[in-house]
Amino acid sequence: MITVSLIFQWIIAFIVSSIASCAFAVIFHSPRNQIIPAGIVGGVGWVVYIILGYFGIGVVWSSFYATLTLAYFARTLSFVRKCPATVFLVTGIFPLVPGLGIYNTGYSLFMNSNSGTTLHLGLQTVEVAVAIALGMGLVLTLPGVLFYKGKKKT
Amino acid sequence: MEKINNSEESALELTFLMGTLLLENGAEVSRVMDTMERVAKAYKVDQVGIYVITNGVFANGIENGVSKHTVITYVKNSSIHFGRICALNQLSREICAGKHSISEAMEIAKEINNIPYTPDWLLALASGVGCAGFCFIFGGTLIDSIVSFVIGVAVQMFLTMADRHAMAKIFQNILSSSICAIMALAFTKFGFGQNIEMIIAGAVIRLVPGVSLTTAIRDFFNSDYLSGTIRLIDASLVGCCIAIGVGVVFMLASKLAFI
Repeated sequence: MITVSLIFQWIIAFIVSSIASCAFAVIFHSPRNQIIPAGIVGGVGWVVYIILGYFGIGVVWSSFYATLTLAYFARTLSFVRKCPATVFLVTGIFPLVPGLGIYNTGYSLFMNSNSGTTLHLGLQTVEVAVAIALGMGLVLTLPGVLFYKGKKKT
Repeated sequence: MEKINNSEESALELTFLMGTLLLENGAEVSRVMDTMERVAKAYKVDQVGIYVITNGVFANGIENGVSKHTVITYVKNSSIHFGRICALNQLSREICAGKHSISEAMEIAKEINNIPYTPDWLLALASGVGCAGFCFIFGGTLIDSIVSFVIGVAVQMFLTMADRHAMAKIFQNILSSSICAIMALAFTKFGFGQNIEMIIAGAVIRLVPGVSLTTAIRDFFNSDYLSGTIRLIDASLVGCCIAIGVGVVFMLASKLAFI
């Protein structure tokens, strides 16, 4: 069930993740006029991720689709704003990069005697990273025509 | 023989400078090569050969029939500066449109090299805000986010200091993730924040190798496998360092019966 409060939650998540991504754009010395678009790309990726998660799609596939979406946005923006796509991509994937997975793996590695769990957590982290890589690579190899439809090529 | 080092009018000099600058500030290999080739072509250089990997530029060229330039540069990939990459990208676009003479373009390239870094206090603030935001969206409470903010600021201050003293990157990562874990443990021990894993996940995002991962992917999909591998090793090494740093702290803490 999609209720008003759920949508409200998603909007909050979008705003917060956008602000956090903006902060990371600042950390990597992005030009001032590209910081807000870069943040919005991050927000879009995260919202797609949690909405897919809400519908019961696993972490790996959610990350994949979210990366597809944000990479598409990043490439379109790079044509519109005449700026390398990396600027938007890097800040955009920060919410999706498996920080929690890395932490859980490290925790389990030293605190948990069951190495099966550690391996499982580590593999899941790697899987998410591969999903992000494939999603991004797929969009980056698409022909440019799909992105500057109707706009002048630069 | 004509003058070889007429740097004010040399298109090749400009090409090499732009390539080195791009690579230094964290552009992917194909962008560097592409830009160098375009600039050389725009100024009608007779012949140019370029090979670029993650941490080096190898290029030579013939200009005006006689003068010959070679460059073999080792580039340390320590600093990422998107502002400079964007500016260089803009410059190369303008050069291709024929807007600049060689000496003008050289001036602009040198100016780009002097675009300042974001001031330290702003970096610390941004790191704090970013960590707090990520802690919140990963499911932390408001107090968790505040703790994450403090840790984010501390980690950025540590990184700035470590950079200044040229500390090895592996130690930087292990130590700064340990700092995350120690601070998070201390804060939760004294009653600030409930979800320690959310606090650490948020704080650790500052260290996560997002740039290396992105660049590695871009390099791989552009068939620059060698450069992609270097970046990928970088990314996985940083990931391992974070895991080790956090894990060791937890182990010590449990040995000392702190948690």
